[in-house]
Amino acid sequence: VKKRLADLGGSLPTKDERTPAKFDAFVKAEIARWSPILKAANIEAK
Amino acid sequence: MWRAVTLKGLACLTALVLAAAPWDARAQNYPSRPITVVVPFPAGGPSDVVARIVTEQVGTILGQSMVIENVGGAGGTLGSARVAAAQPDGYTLLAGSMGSHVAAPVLTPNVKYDSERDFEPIGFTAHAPAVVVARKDFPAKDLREFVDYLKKNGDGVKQAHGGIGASSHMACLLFAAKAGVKPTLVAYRGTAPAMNDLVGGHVDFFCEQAVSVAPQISSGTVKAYGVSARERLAILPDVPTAKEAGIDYEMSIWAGIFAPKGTPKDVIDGSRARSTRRSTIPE
Repeated sequence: VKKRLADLGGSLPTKDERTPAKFDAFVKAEIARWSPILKAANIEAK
Repeated sequence: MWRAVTLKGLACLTALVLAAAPWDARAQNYPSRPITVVVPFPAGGPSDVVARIVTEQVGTILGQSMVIENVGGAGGTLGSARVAAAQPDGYTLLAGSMGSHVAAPVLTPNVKYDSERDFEPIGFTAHAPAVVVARKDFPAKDLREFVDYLKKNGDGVKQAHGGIGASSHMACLLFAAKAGVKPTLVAYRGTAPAMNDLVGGHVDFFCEQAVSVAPQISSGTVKAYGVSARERLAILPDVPTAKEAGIDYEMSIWAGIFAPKGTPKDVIDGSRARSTRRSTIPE
């Protein structure tokens, strides 16, 4: 699986990153990181 | 007519699932039947490819088949909404992504779910950095020159993206913010037509995950300036990272598996599957 993802230029997150709790925290952080950037872009597009 | 039949089919399916749920709850065996994984994008796209690789492996480990169902439309929100509303029994999962969970809720009108409230994240499946690519005759020899050119020429430079909220849209938004440039955006329906126009020289640049642009980079039909990763990518060893050029551009387009909110905790963390199989299932 790791190899097939690497062939696509991606990577498998580490075992630690793959736990539900870590993934949950990651998703929340991504939402917090991106929302202002996306909102600004959305306003500009209108 | 076709629509009516499909809706009736769906209703029957829902009734079946409802009827089956108490049995599973009593038996505590999981998974005792195939698991549906909804991919909220069309077959063949990057989300679909990654989901298929991962679910095949998970299915082997669980000893159950995983059925991929592509429910595309509205920036990935239709399929995601279906999973948000599905029975939280571990038999309907979502191959979610940055698009379905981060971009669409902000950018797509009338989204029928809340990414934080309506799902239980199960696990991270993949992340892929983006690559900044330009038409092959773009007059800059490296990323620093490229950024200088963009600063000088402002909205005279045309940046393609694969649609509002697409990974290519997000990847370039962050790049433009970090590099302090403001190109003119040209929206396409998906990566493929955007790439065609970049190869044809009708637009100036594009940012997309490596899987989608690597073939054109190797064949020389586009020029690659930088990747949004901490280290160079194995498949693009000659393309420097943005950091090497002094630009703090780091991001990954990611994917992961989600269950509807309310799915039992021992299903999410895999312990029920482990006790069902009575064998060591890797975490």
